Amino acid sequence: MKEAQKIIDLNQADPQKFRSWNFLQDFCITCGLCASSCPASGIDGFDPRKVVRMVSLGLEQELVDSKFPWICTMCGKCEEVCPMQINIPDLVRSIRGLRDRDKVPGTLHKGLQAALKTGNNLGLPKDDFIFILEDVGEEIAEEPGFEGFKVPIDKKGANVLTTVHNKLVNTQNEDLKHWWKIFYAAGEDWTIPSDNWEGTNWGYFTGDDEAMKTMTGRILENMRRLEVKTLLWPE
Amino acid sequence: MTRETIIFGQGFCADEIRRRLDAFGCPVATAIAHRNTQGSGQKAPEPEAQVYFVYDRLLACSGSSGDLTLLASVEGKIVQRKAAAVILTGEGDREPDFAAYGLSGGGAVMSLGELRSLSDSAEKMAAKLKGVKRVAFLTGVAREKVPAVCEEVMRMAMRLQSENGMQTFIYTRNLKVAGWGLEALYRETRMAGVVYIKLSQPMPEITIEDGRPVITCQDDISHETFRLRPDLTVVDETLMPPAGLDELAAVFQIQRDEQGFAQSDNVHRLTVATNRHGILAAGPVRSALVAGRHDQRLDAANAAAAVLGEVLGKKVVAEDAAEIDTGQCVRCLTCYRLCPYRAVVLRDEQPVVDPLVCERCGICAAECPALAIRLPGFERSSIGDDIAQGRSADPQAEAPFIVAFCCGRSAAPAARLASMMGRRLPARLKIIEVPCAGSVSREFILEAFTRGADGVMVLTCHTGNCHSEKGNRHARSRAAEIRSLLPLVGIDKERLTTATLASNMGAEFARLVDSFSAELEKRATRTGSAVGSETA
Amino acid sequence: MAQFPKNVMVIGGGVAGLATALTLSDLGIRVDLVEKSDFLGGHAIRFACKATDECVKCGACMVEEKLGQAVADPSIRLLTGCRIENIERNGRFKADLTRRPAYIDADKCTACGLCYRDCPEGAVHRGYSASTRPFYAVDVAHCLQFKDQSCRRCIEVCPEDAISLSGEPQKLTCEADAVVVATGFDAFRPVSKPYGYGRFKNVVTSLEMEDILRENGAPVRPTDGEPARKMAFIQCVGSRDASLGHLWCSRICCGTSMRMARMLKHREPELEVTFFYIDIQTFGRDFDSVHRRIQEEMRLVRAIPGDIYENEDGGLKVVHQDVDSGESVKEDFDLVVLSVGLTPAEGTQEVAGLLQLRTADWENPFGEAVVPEGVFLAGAVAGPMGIADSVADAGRAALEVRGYLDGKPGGK
Repeated sequence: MKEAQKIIDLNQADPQKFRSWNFLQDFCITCGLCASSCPASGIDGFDPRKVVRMVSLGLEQELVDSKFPWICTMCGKCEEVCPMQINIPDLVRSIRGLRDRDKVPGTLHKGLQAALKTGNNLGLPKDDFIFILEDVGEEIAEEPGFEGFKVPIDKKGANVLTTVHNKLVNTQNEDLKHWWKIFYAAGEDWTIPSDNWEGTNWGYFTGDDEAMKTMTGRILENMRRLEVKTLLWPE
Repeated sequence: MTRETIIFGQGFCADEIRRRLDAFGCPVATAIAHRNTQGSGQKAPEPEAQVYFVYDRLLACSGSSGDLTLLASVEGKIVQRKAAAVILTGEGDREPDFAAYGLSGGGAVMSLGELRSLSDSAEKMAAKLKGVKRVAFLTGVAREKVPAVCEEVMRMAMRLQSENGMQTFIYTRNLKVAGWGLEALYRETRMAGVVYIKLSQPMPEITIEDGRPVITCQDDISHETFRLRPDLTVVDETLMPPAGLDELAAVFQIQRDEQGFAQSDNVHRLTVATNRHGILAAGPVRSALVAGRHDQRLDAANAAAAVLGEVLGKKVVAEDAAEIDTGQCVRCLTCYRLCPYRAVVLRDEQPVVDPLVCERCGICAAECPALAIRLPGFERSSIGDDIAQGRSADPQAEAPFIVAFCCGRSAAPAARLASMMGRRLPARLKIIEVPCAGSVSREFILEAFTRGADGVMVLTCHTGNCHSEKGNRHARSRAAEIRSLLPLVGIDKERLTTATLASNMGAEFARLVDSFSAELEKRATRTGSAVGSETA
Repeated sequence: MAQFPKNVMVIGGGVAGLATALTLSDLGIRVDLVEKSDFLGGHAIRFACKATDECVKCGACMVEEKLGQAVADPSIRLLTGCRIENIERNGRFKADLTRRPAYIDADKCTACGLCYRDCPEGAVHRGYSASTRPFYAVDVAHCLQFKDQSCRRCIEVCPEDAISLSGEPQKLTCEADAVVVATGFDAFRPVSKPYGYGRFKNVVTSLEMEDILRENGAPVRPTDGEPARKMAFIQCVGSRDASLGHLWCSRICCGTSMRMARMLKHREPELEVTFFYIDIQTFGRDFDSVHRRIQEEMRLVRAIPGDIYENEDGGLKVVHQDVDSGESVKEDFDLVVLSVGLTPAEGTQEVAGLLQLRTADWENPFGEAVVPEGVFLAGAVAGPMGIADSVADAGRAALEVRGYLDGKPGGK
């Protein structure tokens, strides 16, 4: 049995608080399939069944203050097994979105803020970005079979536009080469934008719909600007 | 001229039965205990609407299906009333579980039944529940309930939630959705905003604060501890047999179940039968499980079908009913007392078996201290001869000679099933099939040993599964008696065994007789046909 | 007494069909009971007795009793192995039936079981009730003689000369004044669940468990024939499941599994049983006290497991939430029983098509149905129910048939 816990006063709770949420959370029959399948069940007392329960009881403050929504990896296994098809990952995400931004754990919001401000999570200036890309491009051009390789940056009318994960221009530059070599060997007509090139969208993880819209909007803007019809967005 | 069916009890099921029987032109009378019509809630007879049988006291009921005779005192006189059938029905009582929660009714605590009557009028309910914002329902927490009760709670909560703008909380242990449409209903209630709190152990802590209960408990699912002080607490009910049933059951000599309902908890009685032909029990009066309207409708239909079947006259007279030899009979009335079907009646102070009622269980014959009753086909001498024949069929064989008295409803079909399944049964197994283990008397068991059985088995139905209610227990207690006496005549008591079976237990039958045979093989075969001594 | 000269066709030889036929017979009506398989009794005839040292009212023996009574009743004509080709309606119903030849002669067969034992393809099926005649039947789909005339083993071993693997199907007509549809249910086949059903031999459904118990009297593992020592029951498999379109409780599974478990523990007290459940449903009259005993006798876990993996020895790892620690754990079991739900029978759709019948959706069983005049439903065809309820429903249906045949209004 659990230790003596804080007692939740249902006279103060408003179970109808999350009425407007349509993740089918009201269909829950507390079967526990989600809890059984979740890889994070048990960490600090978390399990997805509890989270759905707390939403049903309208325990907004408890949920906002709780670590639970942030322990979830949003892998989606719970949703897969749920017999009532409750969209638990999106439910968790919405709870995340309720928290004050300055209380969002770790670097998630900080990275997002940088991205909103500068176009990428690192706040990497444009010139530095281009320099790194061209540097890697030159290394590829030195390899046999890849003579003449050049990184096409801001190429108008290309066939494919690809975004870039910030880690690839930070600590893992080498991993840029895999994509690029494939493009080259396939004879693909591709390009990378020099502004707003960030592929990650941490508003997804912090429950920030506005930020998600903005980041996505910028990628679309790039596509319009460069008149590219196909987007490769691996992140 | 069709005799009437007399219905004891009022309410939905009674009305349904009447409706069904009316449709077939079967005459119906409603029995009313006269003293009850003054001011205790039972409707006074309406002229023209129905036929009534009004009585002061019911005294006795004899006969069987199609030909029942009720004896009652009516306005100081003893009257007889004939009936084709008697149906016990009625609403059953509902006792609120207040005490189980340490609560008492009144004020901010109500029973489900009170709320139900209140809900007949929307205005009354709104007025009485004015100012109520939060309502807690306690259902199936102190005691597990049936789906019909849970359904009522869910519907009531949903109504208060959607029509009266209250926030409802349903506290339960196991949510009962095992009824048609209840899973969908649960969903509807959730969509209306009803909150469920599921508990396992222990009981919630309920205290009183300022005249209102405060419920503190740990929710099974979230492991959080919740505290609620509702404006109204509704406690559910335990379904009980109706108050007047004790008297009726005694007069009609109906066997009841452990909770006191008017039908024993025995699958042979399904759906609406009792231990007596022609006396039926329908609706909540027969079991707490028959609570909802749907179930009551089915009971009513089955009762009507039973009556109609009787009217159409498919009754077969038992040609070989038990017979009492009036010369031998000492009028101890043991048979009269023991007959589960009330087939022994008194005619001119002589017990006589009514062949229309007798089910040939043989309990009377086996228990008669004067050995004055015979069940044709099952007498000691004929059984003895049968056994002797079985033994001599293969006199060279070395396998133990086993006599198994097998109840015709359980062990005997199980034995047949075992053979058909290809199980090899002991080589010298002699099965004596009897209509009911209740007919296996002490004399039969001793006869088997007398005729040379190395081992005797008495195989009966499971406890609670005997068509005669107690035939199996009679048989087993007789066997236990004999078992303890066997060493006095030099027979190892391990040579007599009992077991219970059902008709579909072929594999178990085979294993049972096989292991008994193996046990017997360890002992010396008994010699000769006379009871002799043997080394232990 | 006058015989009421009407005939009713009851479609389906399970407990509801048998009980309807018997009540119809009591009401003076002749019955043609049509069953597509070789054996009467439906699913329930295969159930094991769940008594401990006393009867637990599971009802399995009642199915046996009904079957025995129906076989003995001269007013009931039992037609097994029948396919209904067509049903015409012209006031009365006229059904064209095709009846499979009885390759094993009921009059000659003594149920010795040699054909069953010796058939190389396992193409001889065995019945479940001592009242079933014949007790054995040939499954043409697997019989080599029918495939390529290559085997006559059963004919050779039969000491009674009761088997002939030849014969033409019989064409029959059944004329009836009313029809009762008692086609029952299909059990959910849990192949879509991550429990390894169909691949891991020691993961069985509750119905398969009944067969094992009927055969062995003990929970014998399919892999090694040894009795299991640690069993898991997973409830609600295929029930209470909107993603499958099964938004209903199947009603009988809690009672069946718990009675089964108590019986097994009674026979073998060392057996460890764990129940994975959502809400335990009431069964039996004294459920409150039985529930208390169950909580003492076995381990109840209020969470349905996620995945099951198989160990090298055929044992199983069941992934579930440990409700104390809250963690998802992998626990070993010898044998896992999936309490599968009841679903509408496929056979019902065929029959419904022949009758212009539309049954209600099981998610809303009191909802709209189209039941033509003269057609009646009995038992689990219309929604999940157990043996006692099927018998009660059958009684109701028989009464309504009688009312209809009498031409009386208000019979329904």
